[in-house]
Amino acid sequence: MHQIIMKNDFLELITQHQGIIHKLCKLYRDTPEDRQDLFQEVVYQLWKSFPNFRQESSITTWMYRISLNTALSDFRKVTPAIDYTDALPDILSESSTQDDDQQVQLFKALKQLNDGEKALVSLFLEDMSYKDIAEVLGISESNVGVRLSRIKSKLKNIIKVYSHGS
Amino acid sequence: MDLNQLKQSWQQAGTEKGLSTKQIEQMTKISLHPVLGRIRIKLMVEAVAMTVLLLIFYNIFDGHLKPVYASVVLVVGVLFYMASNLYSFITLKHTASADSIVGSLHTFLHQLQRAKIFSLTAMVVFSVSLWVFFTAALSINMKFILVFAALAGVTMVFLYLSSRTWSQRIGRISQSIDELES
Repeated sequence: MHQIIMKNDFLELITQHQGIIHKLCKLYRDTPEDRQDLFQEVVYQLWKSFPNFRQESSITTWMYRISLNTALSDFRKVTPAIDYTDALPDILSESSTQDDDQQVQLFKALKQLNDGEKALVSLFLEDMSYKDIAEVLGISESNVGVRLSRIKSKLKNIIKVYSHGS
Repeated sequence: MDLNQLKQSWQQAGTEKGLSTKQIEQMTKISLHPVLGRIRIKLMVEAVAMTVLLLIFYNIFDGHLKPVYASVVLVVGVLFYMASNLYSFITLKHTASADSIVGSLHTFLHQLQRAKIFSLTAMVVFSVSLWVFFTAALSINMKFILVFAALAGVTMVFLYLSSRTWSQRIGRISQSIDELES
């Protein structure tokens, strides 16, 4: 009975916050198949970790922690390099509005970063404090500051190049 | 697009209609897991094959004509191999920890390194046990040398392939740690 209640709570939370997983899958994987596999792996890991979730941190922080952990330790298949010139066909780009165009630009820029930088910047973009980012990642707050500053200028340069190119 | 627009864009991403609760529920099952489901089937098939080997080796391969130590070594080799398979599966099943990501990756890295050593050792032990069993009571002749050479060759190929797979996994985790820490 307890298990059923727990599962219902879990499903309700994940259904409500699944956008976080979609974003991270899009950030870390290039093909729809790989994204689907990672999504499934993340949901599986979240379910396994759910009994230990004590609500000391917010549901968003907990989901980021487990999802990023999974994305960085998951054994993906080796796939050919992809040229990011078009919108990737998935849930995040089904309709074409100005917001979607911005999202395509955003993901194109973020995909130029390495996996560690992606983790850092995704937490920053979610509006987490340096203290929370440091805690989630397990690095010092000062390191977060230094590295984010480098990543921000890297992103600015990437976006500038794209703006001039378009 | 400036950084504030990036933030806004990130926070709006993923808010479209997503998967249903039923679809998400399906994903909590290990049998439908993209990787673990396949590994579990492989593990079960190997466990059945090894169990069959343990049940029939004495009669089929003339166990009564071999010294007792040869049978004991073979049984130990098979059990060790099965134990290493199980250990590898448990390691790969790895539950993502809610601790810090770097800490969790370090723990996983050590677990993978242990599993690699266990797995490669088990492969060698299993091959040696097969060799000991099939060459027991044989005098050193051409047949003895051929069995030894064939088993050594096959073992080397499997060791190389297995070692490469483990090293790729370990390398990937090390790289993630480096990228987060540097």
